[in-house]
Amino acid sequence: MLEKYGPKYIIGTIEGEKAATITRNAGHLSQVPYAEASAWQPAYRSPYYTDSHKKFKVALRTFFDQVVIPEARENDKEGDYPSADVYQKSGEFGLLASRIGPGAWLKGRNLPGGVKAEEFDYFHELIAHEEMVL
Amino acid sequence: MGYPGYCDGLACGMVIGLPPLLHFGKLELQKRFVPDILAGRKRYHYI
Repeated sequence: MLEKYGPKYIIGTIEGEKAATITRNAGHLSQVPYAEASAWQPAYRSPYYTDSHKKFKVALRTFFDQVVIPEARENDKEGDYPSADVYQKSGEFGLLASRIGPGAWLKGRNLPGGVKAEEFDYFHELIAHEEMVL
Repeated sequence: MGYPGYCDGLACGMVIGLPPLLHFGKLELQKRFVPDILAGRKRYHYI
């Protein structure tokens, strides 16, 4: 909300004030405890996720925040299909391929977060589905 | 994202329908359809 209406209505800030609200940039993983799975907090470690999974997740989240959500907001009111433009961008970005899962069909495709086709895991697919829905 | 209808429209048809083709389909059929579908050029709808 603040991103959309902010530049128009915010005329100034109080000097020396620190913002009390957390602004949500693109690619923001929530630091609130238990808001998301604890594996993504910096203090915790999960046996299932590696650095490659984290890069994948952050890349997907920036993609969704920048490309998909603005259009989803408009289309949800009217009940339209996703436009061909968004669909094509998500195909080039590798989102469609990563939702199918690991296999021989991924060879030579470009996947989000710089993940290579050989190290693509079922956990990557899990993260792709999770980012889509949540 | 908080928009379930939109998210379903964004390739859920492909996620359900493409794996049978990939695992059990003939090679010529796969070569004909799969690169275009995964690149987003063709859209796979379900009714």
